[in-house]
Amino acid sequence: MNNTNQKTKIIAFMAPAMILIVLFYFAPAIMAFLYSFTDKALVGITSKNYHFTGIQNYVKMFKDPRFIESLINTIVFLLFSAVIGQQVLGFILAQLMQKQSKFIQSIVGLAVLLGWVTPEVVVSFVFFAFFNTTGSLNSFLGLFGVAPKAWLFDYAMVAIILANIWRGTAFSMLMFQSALAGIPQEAREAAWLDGVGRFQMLTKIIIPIIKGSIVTNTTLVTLQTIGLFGLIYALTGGGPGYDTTTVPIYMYQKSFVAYQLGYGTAMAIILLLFGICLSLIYMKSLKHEL
Amino acid sequence: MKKIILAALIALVSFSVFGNGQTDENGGTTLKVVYKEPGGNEAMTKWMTQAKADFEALHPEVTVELSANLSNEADYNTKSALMLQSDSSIDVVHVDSFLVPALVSSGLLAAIPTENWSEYDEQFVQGVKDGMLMNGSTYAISFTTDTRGLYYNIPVFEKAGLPVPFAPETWDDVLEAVEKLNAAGIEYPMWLNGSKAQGEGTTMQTFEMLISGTGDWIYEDEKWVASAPGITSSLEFLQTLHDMGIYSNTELATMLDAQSWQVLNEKFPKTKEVGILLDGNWKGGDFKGYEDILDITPMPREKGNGFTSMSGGWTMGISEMSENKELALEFISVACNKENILKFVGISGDMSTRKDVAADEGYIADGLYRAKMTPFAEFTNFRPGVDAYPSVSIEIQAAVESVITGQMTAEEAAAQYASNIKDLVGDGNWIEK
Repeated sequence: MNNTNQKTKIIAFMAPAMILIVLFYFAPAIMAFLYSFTDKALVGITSKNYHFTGIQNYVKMFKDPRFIESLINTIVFLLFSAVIGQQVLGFILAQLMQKQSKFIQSIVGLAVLLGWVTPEVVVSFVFFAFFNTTGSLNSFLGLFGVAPKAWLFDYAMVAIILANIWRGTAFSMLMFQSALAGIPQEAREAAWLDGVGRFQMLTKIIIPIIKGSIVTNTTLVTLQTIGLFGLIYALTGGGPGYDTTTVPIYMYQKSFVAYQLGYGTAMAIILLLFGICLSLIYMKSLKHEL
Repeated sequence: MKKIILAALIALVSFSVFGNGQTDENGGTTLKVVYKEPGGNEAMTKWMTQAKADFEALHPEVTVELSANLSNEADYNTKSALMLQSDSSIDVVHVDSFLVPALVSSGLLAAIPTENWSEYDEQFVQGVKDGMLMNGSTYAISFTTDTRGLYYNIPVFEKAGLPVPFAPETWDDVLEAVEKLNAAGIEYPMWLNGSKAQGEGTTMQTFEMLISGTGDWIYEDEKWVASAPGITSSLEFLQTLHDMGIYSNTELATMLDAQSWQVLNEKFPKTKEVGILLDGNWKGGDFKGYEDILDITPMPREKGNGFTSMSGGWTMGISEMSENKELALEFISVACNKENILKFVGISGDMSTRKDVAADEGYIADGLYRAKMTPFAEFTNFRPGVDAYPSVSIEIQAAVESVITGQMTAEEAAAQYASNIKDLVGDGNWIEK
């Protein structure tokens, strides 16, 4: 078989996938990027005759107090639910499960995984049923004479953070389980013999060894969480007020409820850049000592 | 040989990617009708299915394809607007009346030659016909309309020592009743839509029902009103409710939830925990069988001198991209004939736009609230049919929510509304009063 023939074959087999990727991923992404510099609306005169408005959408965005609020909400949500919540809980679970029997491992593993395999909207309904004013949490607390509270109203951010931790911890747990399993037994034994305590074992031996996994995991959970829409939308709808409105929720409101597509796509671009920046920062940190 | 197979494969893939499925399997014409099915009693689907059968009996060569969209109002509006821009197979589409002008200005709806349809001229109420007239052409056929007012709970009023029938003449009369209901320990002295999650309901059933009773309005002389005494006093009405302390946070969370209407259907007629409800005539459909318990009264203007109401409704339009515009109009005329509309509103509880249906004895007897609320049309108001309305509506919802939840005072919310409206519509498109 000659070289040209081989090349044709490669191209031919890759063509369907490439066509699909270009058509359904790159083309819309480029369109979104271009729309972000226009005043395009979903309906109305400017849906057809839209104009190039330069960076006006971007200027407007950073003057828009609600966008700033939604950005802060996104960061709070990301930090507490994913970067800290899911990872710390996932790590603790992975660490604790190491020394347990197969039976306990599979029971705990299954329980945690259930959250991960449950569809987002179902998770929302489960948590809604839990936090609702007539929900199971208030019913339970009522047994001890505690008056019902409006959890989704007074502690809305906490509620969505808890829901996301419950849903996403399994992913971090699995990542850390495989990372911990990769630590050579000799390393632990040597440290043990040198009289290293439990805490030092963690900070001086385990964490430095699995540093790569931590960074990879942080990057992945960040990207999964930053664009999270369904869970928050179904649980609080971004409310009360703008208390749980993250950038994806605000973007949806502006694009599909207020019909300002141009402004909405500009937010999408900023969100994309935000995700890329965070990933780069994580990658950079890999090169430094923890 | 291999090369030929590869080339064929590539061709096949590209066809499936680029080709569009316009061809008709039977060679006949297909008429596609897109509508919103909110679920529940499936009145819409029953109506459309009947219209399809009637139409196909008249035109055996045509197949009517029904496309039901099981979604809420906001999502349906977005979805249908997107479909009209990209899907050329759509012929007839159901559109919320307030969205019609925006769709027309984007060139998505075709002008409807109603002169070929004598019944339209004779039987449809003039007010709704005028509303769908743009640049001298009709762009949508209104098949339902609605009005809004104050429902009240007779046993609850009696418990609070308030006289029935309840006939408030000013906002103060309403607030006074609320205060007494609150003093009598009624959980929800006044129930209303008040959050962004409740969408257009908050704008139309609450804010616009208030401001339309002041001397001001949100859109005057083709400019958006950024600030006016009426905007502030409407928000002050809501602040008064908040300041009276009639809602605990638990109650607010319940009332302001997007699905709260289900809770309301329990709490208002059955468990009698609600005194007054500000809502539309379609709620009467949920209150059937409770006519002895719940009654309705028109919403008074701020300082008296009559009453106010808001009206909207649903329409059928024809897609600009449709290749069967004549058939589409014929389908609409079959669906909107007296018999079909009578059956439809009999199930849905909606208010008809046809004079002969409105005069039908069965129609009148079937919906007591609807019959009592039909005269509200005399003093009703319509939303501005302008592109920017959906965006302005969100600002209204945000203002209402921040006041009713106590996050802002009426004045703070009015000031923020003013600055947001100015940003939103741009210089030259707003006024201050």
